[in-house]
Amino acid sequence: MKRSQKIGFFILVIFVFIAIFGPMIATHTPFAIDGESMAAPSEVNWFGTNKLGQDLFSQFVYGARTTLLIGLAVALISTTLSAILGLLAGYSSKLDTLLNSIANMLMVLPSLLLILIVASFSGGGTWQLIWTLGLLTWPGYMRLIRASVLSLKEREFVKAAQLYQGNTFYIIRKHLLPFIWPLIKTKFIISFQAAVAMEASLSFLGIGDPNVPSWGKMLQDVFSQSSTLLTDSWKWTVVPPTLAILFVTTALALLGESKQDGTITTASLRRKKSKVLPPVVCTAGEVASSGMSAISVKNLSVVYGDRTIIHPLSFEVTSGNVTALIGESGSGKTTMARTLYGLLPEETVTGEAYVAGKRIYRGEGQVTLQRWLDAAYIFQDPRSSFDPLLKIGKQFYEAMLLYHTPIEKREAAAQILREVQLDEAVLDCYPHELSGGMLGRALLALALVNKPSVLIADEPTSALDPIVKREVLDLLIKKVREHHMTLLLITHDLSMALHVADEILLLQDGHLVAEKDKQRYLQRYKPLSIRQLGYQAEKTWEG
Amino acid sequence: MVFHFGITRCSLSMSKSKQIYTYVGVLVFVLLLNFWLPRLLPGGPADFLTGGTEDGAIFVSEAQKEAMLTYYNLNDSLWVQFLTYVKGIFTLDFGLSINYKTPVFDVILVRLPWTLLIVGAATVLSTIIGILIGLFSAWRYPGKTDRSLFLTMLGLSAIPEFLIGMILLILLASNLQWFPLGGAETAFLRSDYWLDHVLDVGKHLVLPVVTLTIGNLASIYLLMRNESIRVRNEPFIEFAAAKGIGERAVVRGHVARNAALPLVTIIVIRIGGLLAGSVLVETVFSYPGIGKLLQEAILARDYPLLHGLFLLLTVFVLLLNMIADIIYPWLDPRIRVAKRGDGQ
Amino acid sequence: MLDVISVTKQFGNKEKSVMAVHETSFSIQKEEIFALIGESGSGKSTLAEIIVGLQEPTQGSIAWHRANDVEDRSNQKKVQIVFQNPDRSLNPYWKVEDILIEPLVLSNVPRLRALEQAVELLDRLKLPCSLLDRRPCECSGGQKQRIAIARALSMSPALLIADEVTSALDPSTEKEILTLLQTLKQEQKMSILYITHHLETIAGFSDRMAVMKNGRIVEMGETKQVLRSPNSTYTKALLDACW
Repeated sequence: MKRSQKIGFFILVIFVFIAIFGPMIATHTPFAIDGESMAAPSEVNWFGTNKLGQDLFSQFVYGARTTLLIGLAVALISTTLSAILGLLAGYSSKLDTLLNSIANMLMVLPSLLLILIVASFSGGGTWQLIWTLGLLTWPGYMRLIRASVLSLKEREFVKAAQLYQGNTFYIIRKHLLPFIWPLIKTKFIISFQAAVAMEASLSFLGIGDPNVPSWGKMLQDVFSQSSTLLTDSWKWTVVPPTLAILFVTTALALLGESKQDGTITTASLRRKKSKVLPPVVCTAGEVASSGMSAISVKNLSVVYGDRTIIHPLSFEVTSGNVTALIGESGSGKTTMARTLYGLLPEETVTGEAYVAGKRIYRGEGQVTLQRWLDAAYIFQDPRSSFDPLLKIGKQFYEAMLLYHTPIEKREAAAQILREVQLDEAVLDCYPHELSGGMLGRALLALALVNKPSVLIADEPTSALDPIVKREVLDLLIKKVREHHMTLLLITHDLSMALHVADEILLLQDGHLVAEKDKQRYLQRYKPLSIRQLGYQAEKTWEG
Repeated sequence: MVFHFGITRCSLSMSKSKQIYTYVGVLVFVLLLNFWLPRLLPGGPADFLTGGTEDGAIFVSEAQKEAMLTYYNLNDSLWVQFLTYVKGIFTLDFGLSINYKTPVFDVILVRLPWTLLIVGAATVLSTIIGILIGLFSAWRYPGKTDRSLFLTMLGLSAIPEFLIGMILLILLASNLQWFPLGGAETAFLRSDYWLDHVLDVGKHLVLPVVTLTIGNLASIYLLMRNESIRVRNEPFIEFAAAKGIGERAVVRGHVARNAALPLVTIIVIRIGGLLAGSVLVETVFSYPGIGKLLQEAILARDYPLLHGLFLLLTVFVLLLNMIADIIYPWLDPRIRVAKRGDGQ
Repeated sequence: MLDVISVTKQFGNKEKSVMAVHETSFSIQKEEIFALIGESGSGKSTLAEIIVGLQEPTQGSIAWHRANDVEDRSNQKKVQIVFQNPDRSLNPYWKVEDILIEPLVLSNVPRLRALEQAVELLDRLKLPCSLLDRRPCECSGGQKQRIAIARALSMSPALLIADEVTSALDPSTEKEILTLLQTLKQEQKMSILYITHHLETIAGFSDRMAVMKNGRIVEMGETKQVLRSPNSTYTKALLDACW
């Protein structure tokens, strides 16, 4: 439980106590007219009295009972309906059509309006209110549960259970319920809160059973006589019920906070904008430290909290080389790539790293790496790398800092697209209009657009089908060689690495593997080459 | 009121024709409710006419009784009553208001502009502020600024609107006397200068609009924040950041657009919620819009007026839903292009 | 042992229909490894679900040859499937032991005997018994996939369908799983339908193979033969894309 949830829970418990024990110690009945009108709090009337001389303390504690009872009953009815109907609709496509259209209809109208329609024509007894609220407020979470069931149904463990001939009830109880349980809990608390708020609002409007004490009704009593606002009496007539409603509703809201998805490693967006800098004359020290290496890493390590992702390691990547960084999942190769591109929070990185001769971390006073100008970084799936709502052209132009006018930018972008065998018209397309292979090429063009000297590519082809994958990769290698760029290729595909790379670096558990062990690893896990089986290639690939 | 909190994008997944069925269904449903509820539920006009329920006698004047008898045609058979009712709807004839003794349509027309004024102002304000703070909060996620903003808004979204209004009223109008206690303009304001009138209306406007804004703002903030955080974790955001375009450009150009797009529908639909919420807020501030009218009609059991108001509000909400359905595909290139492709 | 007879599967309604599998026929022999190759969307997974009985074919049928040793097994038990992603095929809320005995418990084997069998299976798949108390998220990717295989084996199937079982795994783990499958095939005397998009892995692993494209089989034959001299242009293109 989070701290805010604990606070919410604590406040709620206090009010439950008030509701249970308050009426036992109240000395008056809530509607007995036996006091002075508008009396201030005293020993007899602890919370004072209202205009009619009714004791406000007893109204307050009985009101707590009403409020919590209504909230609980509504939450029970509404949650049960949401869960059962959601499961049914998600699991049976026949019922789904019917239930879903009922839910849609109920959700079109704001629930307050719907409830007003029903409540204003009815007498407004407490149970009538409970049933109205309960029966009208299930659709929202029913739809969430339904959606959740629909997606769970496609999970393979449900399919497997069906194969083992588990019946529907078994699958719902054993496989689905654990997943939708958090939804049910949240729904319960939220409908509790909404019912409390709704009851107070309706009583305040004057709809509701006049013979049942409630906080909303206490406020209505005050506000139906506008004169009360002009005196000091609001301090005891208005403040207690207001605070009570305020506390109960916010406490429930805090308690019902659902878990936020997203991890602690959420990438920070707080990054500086790249700037076009005039070429600098390197000092002797810098030349010595960077030498001929395009990438130079010295005693670099990455630590997240108490977890060391990358243990201190050093390596150099020769300028103009294609270097493959391989390793199994969890070996830290992606972290390594992100580190080299300066995407990690500075405090997690120790040691030195230079890319294209520019320092990446803690480069105060020095010329630091300008992203996309000195180096570019492409990763994983080309389809998810492009913003789906922007035209490809726009996504090119915003990165093209070397060009100034729109016409210049467009010409340069078209030029680079032609290099990867794409038409200029691609600039006016949205990403979803292009095939995976085209997007892969477009991404490559985008990486080349500022002619950076270093390109870091993290599994750039892993999402593509075999034939397209080979095409895009060979194009990548060809362009890198043509432009005399340095490529750091991160991959888990051994045969790809062996085929294209001048040099291979192997990471294991955050350590760089020594030469001898690396050779042994490659020997052992290298897949059989199709060529060795006697197949004569018909097509000769470039690169 | 945030009864619907936690519901997102319900209508996006449905096809156009299905939507129309839903809207027609809702309209018929409300019409039937309007007809049957007063006749069937205990405490309805039938009980009312016979002198109240066991809850105690309700004072009914002879004139009121008579008006109600003619309005409901309670002496006719149910079927004839229903036909008369349907005919009334198609001719926009909702009958005479019992309280005002004038046609329902005219009574509503006088009050409607005030409600449109505060709901419109609150919609614009809450949308802009809600989206901006939501975006800011997501930008600072995870962190202390985000967390405290989130908890504040979560709390605010839970408080009933009338309570917010009441607190503002007591603090700012009753105690500090910065704003008037209620109404939409000062009665008999003696000034020929139009600016004085505008200022006067503006002064009366502030508290109701602020109240409606706070309630709606909190839920728009929560939706925007969640959506922005989700978008922030998308690979294309990381990629945009990797392009070296600077965090402001990433947030403005990529996060904001992608997060706000799915909210457009919800924001438009929420205007319906604000209309309903105006009942509470106008009651607190005695603001002479249709919300206050509705509350009075409920208390006075002015059934013809209630029918008219419910029908009007329903039609409003349905129109808003339709507008949302129409503008969404127009804004999302993915759907827009798919549509174009279908036509070819 | 099993014949797939001109199976067709259509999705969607009359106006917009997608042909996932189109008049596909092949047969799987006893104790052989049959590889089905295809890109994503080629219909290979749909075909697997049809064979295992999770989907009904629009046309065509699946026929079993009656052999003495499989006669008494019901259709469901004769064939078992292991899915691509162990994270989706193992319920994350369950303990490994409950996952392993689920098929046995559902076919009314007493819990204690099912547990005995589960321990035996873990042993055969070279998994430590300490896994029983853990949840899937506490196991490595290779372990999870082996748990999924163990669960399928607990029903002693005559045919095991392995649907892209190694595509989420690292090269070293992939090799281990393939070796394991070969051993298990001999021990259990079963056939394996091995579905993959990765041509490299099947050389020296499968006996026969078929290549699927857009719901049709474009090439079928002995693995060695196909890999050495493919007939269809598509197979050639696939082979050309290998290193």
